[in-house]
Amino acid sequence: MTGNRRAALTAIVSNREIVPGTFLMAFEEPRLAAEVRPGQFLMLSIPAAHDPLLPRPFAVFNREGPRVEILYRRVGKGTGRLAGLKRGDSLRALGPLGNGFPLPAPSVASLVLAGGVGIASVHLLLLHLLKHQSVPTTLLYGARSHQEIIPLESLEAQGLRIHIATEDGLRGVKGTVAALLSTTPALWEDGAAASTEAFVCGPMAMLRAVVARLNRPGIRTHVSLESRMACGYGVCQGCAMPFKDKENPERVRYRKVCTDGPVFTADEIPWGKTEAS
Amino acid sequence: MTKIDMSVPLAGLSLKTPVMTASGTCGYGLDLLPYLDLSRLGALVVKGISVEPRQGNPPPRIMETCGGMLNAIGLENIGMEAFVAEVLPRLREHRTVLLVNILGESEEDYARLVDRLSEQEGIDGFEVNVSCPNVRRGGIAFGSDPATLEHLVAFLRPRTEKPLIIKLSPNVTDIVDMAGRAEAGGADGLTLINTIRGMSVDVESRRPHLATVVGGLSGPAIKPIALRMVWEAAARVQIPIIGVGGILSGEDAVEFLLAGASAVQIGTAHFRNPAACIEVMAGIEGYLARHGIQAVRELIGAIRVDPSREA
Repeated sequence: MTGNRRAALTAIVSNREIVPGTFLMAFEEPRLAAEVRPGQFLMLSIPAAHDPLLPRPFAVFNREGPRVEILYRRVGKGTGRLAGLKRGDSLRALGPLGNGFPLPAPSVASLVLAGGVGIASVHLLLLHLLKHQSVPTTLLYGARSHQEIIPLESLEAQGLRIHIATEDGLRGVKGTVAALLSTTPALWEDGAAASTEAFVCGPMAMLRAVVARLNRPGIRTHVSLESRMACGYGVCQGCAMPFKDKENPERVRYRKVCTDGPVFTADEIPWGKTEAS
Repeated sequence: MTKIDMSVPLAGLSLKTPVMTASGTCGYGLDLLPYLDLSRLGALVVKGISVEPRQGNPPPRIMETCGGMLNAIGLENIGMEAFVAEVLPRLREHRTVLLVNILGESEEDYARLVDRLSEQEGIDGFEVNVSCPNVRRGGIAFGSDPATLEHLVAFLRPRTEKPLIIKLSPNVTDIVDMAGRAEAGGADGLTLINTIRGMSVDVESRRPHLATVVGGLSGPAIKPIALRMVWEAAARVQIPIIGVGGILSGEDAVEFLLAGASAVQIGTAHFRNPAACIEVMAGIEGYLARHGIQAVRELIGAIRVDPSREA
């Protein structure tokens, strides 16, 4: 059966600034809410507007019944327009798109690392892990400023172990998530004995630093990447980034972040050679 | 009310509707399948195929600009043989008119593509991308030198019975001359226009937004230029013209038809909506219904221009 999927036309239910500069937007779209898996994303656009012309990719932060939630930071023109939307305004949503995170077996320890608004990409995964894992899940969460840290008390109440780092030092440890990883030896002892699945999302500098520290026996690291993209479903080829060629690891070949990713294992990425932007 | 007739004849083909995909904006058509029944299209124009696979340009490859986007994908494609072996059998399952966009760096490249692909079942015609540099002629694009363009078309013409549609580059001094040259070489139709060369700079880092510095501009920003070029070319040549450049709506498409295009292609709009072609078709039908016009063919070249007012 082809041709039966549509970009959903939906209406905003709520759109509020939960911490300075960071917004949580909700809309109802039962099919998207039912289908989306942790780490997948949507392409969102404002239907009548031609500026910006292109949709923007956003991770699905949460879903509840027919409700889909998107967490985003107001950084440019696209997110600026999004931040101005009110309840009842219409929105076009294409998705769910991308591969999403591979979900670990219930007995496998999971370490989740998020930098800044990267928390949006791992939040649905955290909810899944808290529900299904028989061993504790740990989140290392960092941001430039304490004001960017979003409240996660409900996850803590469900048993999530949270370690926070901020570069201004006003919340948690002063420094970055990578530093947190080095200064929290307990992480390696509890739960991480035999094997650990690590899931990472954040800015490129953070990914690079974190992946280098996670490169040790028994840890498999999955990285959710970000790239400038026009379409999100494989046709524009604008989001291509270099990855190690499986047949010839010395060489790189371009793959699409949208349909081949956005989640890749850390060993697929040529960390020395690639730049996200 | 009688049913609106959306069919148009084009270069020996009979198209269900005048709306087709623009090369490079819908891959090989397979990514559209979840959203679109390909048989509803006037034609599917797949992304440019070269003899050997091309891996494309390094990132960043795209940048949105006011009313448009710059791209420098670098004609990434899987190559002729992989297209024949892996893609074509899947496309044959969908009853759609298939135009294969071909690109080469020498006349021999184009000839190999036409020879190999002409013998394949399921290919209805070729759209020849002449925006690549000609390596034998110091890297000047085939589509930017009139004599080179005419020679290429005349060289390819006897090699295939299938329609040869030439996709012209707007990055030339005289688009009308290029259109005439393509016709003189034996083209069955023209596609106007390919992207317009442009660039964009990040003032904070002082770096160009694209890794290749310069890219091709598409989207609504180029629509008036595309429309003007279609109108001028249509006055010169007898062969049909496919209009492309920034079409988002049915009204946009109607502008091109009125200016003299026999069909239109939808490009950048696919990035906003995978079913953009269907939206445009519905928009054209709505326009026809509103104006009591029974066949879309009646719009082709039906622009009302007072001869004394022409610039």
